[in-house]
Amino acid sequence: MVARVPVLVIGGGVVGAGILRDLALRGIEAMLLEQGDFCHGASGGNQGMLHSGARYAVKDPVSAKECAKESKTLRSIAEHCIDDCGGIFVSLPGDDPGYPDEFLRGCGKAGVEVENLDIKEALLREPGLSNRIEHAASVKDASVDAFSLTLSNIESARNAGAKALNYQRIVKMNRVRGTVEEVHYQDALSGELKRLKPEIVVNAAGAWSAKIAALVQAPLPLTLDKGSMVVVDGRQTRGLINRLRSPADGDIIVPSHSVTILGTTSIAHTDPEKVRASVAEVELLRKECSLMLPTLESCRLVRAYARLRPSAGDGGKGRDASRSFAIVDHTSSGLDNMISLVGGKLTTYRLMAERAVDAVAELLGDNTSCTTAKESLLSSSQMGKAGAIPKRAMERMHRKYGPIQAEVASHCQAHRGAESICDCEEVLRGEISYFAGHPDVRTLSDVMRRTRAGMGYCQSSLCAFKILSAAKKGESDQNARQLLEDFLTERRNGIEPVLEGEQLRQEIFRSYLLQGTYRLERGEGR
Amino acid sequence: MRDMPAIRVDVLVIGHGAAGLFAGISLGKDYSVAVVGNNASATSLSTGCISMISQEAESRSGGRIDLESMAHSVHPFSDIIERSAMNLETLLPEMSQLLFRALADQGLEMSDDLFHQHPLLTNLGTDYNCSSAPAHTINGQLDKMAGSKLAVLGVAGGLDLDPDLVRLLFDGKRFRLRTNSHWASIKGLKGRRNCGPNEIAEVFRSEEAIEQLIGTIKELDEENVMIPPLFSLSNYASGMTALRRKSGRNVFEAVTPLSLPGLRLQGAMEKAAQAEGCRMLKGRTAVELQIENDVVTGAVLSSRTRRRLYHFNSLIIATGDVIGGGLAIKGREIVDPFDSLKVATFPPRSKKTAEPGIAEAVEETGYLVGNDMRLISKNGRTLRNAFGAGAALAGFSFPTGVGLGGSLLTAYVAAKSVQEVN
Repeated sequence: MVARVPVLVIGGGVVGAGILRDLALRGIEAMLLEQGDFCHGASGGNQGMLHSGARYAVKDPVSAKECAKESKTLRSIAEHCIDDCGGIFVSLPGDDPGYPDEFLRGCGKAGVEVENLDIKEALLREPGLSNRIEHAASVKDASVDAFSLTLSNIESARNAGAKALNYQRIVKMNRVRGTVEEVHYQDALSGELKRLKPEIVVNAAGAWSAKIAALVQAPLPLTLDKGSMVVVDGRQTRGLINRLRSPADGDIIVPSHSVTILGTTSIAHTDPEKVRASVAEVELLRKECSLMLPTLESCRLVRAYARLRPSAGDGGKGRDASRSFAIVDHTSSGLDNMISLVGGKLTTYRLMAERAVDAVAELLGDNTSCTTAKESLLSSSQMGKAGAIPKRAMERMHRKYGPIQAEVASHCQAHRGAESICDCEEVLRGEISYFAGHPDVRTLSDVMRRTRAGMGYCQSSLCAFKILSAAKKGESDQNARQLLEDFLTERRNGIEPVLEGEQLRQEIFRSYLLQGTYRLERGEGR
Repeated sequence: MRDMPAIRVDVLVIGHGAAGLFAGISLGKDYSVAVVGNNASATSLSTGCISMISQEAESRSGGRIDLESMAHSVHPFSDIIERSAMNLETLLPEMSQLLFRALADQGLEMSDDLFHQHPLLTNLGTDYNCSSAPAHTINGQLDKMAGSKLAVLGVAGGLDLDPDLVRLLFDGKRFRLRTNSHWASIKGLKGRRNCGPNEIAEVFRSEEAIEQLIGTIKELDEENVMIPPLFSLSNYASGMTALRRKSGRNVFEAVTPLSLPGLRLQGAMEKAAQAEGCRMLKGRTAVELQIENDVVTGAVLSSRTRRRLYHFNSLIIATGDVIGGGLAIKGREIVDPFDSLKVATFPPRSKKTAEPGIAEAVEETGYLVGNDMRLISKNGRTLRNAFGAGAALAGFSFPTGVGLGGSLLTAYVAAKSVQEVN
């Protein structure tokens, strides 16, 4: 007997999670399958920028309008994920002198709030800015935690009755004439195979969506474009800094939690499995961003990462591609029960989800309307009991965990629960033990993504063991060591492109300890 | 910055880790020696154990150390031995006699069997092979405990040993050991958490804390008990002996880096060097070498406020590898901070296009030496009176696991070369 489900959502990024929540809130039964952990793709590897729309005001007015509206909506429904630190656009000598005026006009037309800043004011607000800046404008950009946002959506959808599973890879979809009949999926870690009969399939697999569509011989116009980012130790700015010019590489600086993220690049790419930031990209990002914020020249680079932007295939390439989105219903290839999403941005995920679910509802003949623009992701605004937990830790947990903060905090009240496990990111033992026992969590990296333990400048060379111990995963020794080695390897992959200066020294020290003394990571680097 | 009048010594040693201090210990009696050091040495962060062979060579030779396995161990080892026409079979016993007597005089008893590797247990639960360790650590040889029961005893509030973690990671089956984890509560640590090694050592200066721990150990069923390092050098031997004797158990220390064992070794070596008459110049960094006609005529040492030129007959550079700050990093390259000496490059020139393999590349990075450990200037000339020792040399850095063994041996050879010249 094959399980049936009215709607199957493929892809556990922010868009898939948003769709699942929207479906659940409209009372439509649904299930989500994600091939890796949630935020496996671009949702887990973006710059964490909540766009006011200003960046697209000149070139991409449709996207600018969407961002302007949606960023306001998200501030009201997902306040806990957003660090509303504001943004400044600055131009430098040599930048197109006509652009600032065009920019202001474009913002006005798209409904993006913007305010001219004189240079003095800008330097007061961001003392690290180069004193060579020529124009400055203040906008309502913000820093958003995409992982927290995605998990909050999943949590909210589950509370409304939806199902979401991570580490489930779609291996086969049976097409019978114009219908996707049966979906075969496999547990990526245990290898177990399962089947499912969905009434409707929503393909929100981002960079993988063309591959998914190809399983049922449905072409999907998709352009993939690599963007790389560099993580810099410490918060180097108060708010976001954006270059006041036509969007190009190395334009944006975003403060996020305890670090600063420099982005991005734009390089055509094909295979979503092999995406890495290169040394050249790292150097370019540092060079360009240092022009706006000279202190970056000497800051320690902690890590680099890259993901693919999936853009609608007919909307141009690279920087010219529209950041807007499209819903594809595949009727032109003769399919009647699948829709795919292409393009879009983190900032507009909710709108994309709303439009996708509108399309699903139409197919189902359901006319319940969307409520996700109004209903907060937090079921209650109450924080858990602080007790022995420092106030700052409570606030950080609120930002990371939103709707489940109280539950996580209660774990920190337990014996040894308030001990610090990761000093860089100030993560408590109770946070680790809560997530270690969570059914979604299978690896130490899963714990890390949820708690941020191990994401600081030491890149878990000192806390990996404390994380393992607190997680008490893998009770048999073989398994525990494997978990640890997998975790260390994953951390290491993001470090290689930034190996220079003090971070190189840090990494050598880390290797010395792990390989030389502890004989871990032995297969690596030799 | 004030310039002070120049000073002359027979031998100037730059670097106050295992290599620098051992060179000082070897030469202090016959020469006026000054040892320069700044900040914590890598030795003080080490496990305080000494290994004489790489892990790879060890698995080939079955843990036995002989000339052949040593020759396959790290290339410069065998090269240097060969070039200096020395015989390892006589060199190692000679060296170990000098070293272990000097350490014992300062209260640090080491097992002195440099020709064999012993499997010990780290504070993470991984096994660590070395040829010489403090006497109380060597009691935890895993092969000798086979078939018995092992208690891993953490001290609540301390950072150094988490018995739950050891249980997760230790492969007890491989060593036929049944393992249990326990925690001891000590009054002086009540309500404290994340105490570092020095804070723990402070608590275990008191008889009361030691007695309390003995009480806890007595209640354990297991005949072997692994504890974190608890004692500083001054009461290490007496503390460990009391724990063993009064509890009737085989109590031993976990192998722990960044902790007390390294500090003890560092402390004992500093004292030993001073006992041999060496002057310790702490808080100073060598900033410049003066070279004329293949002879280093002087070195400028600098503190935060003063500079002084040192003249000498011989110079030994034992500044350590890039981790300890002996070699400098310029962007992506590892370079000589003096800009005077020849360094094997990182990343290796031939591999620049490939992904940098940290472990491999750093091992090969460092000063190049010619015959008798003589350093080579950056324009390729062998220097007549400057010698290299320790992890600063190409091939003697991480991750071969021969860190201290290689450091000590090269320092000993360098000291012999100094004696030959003068």
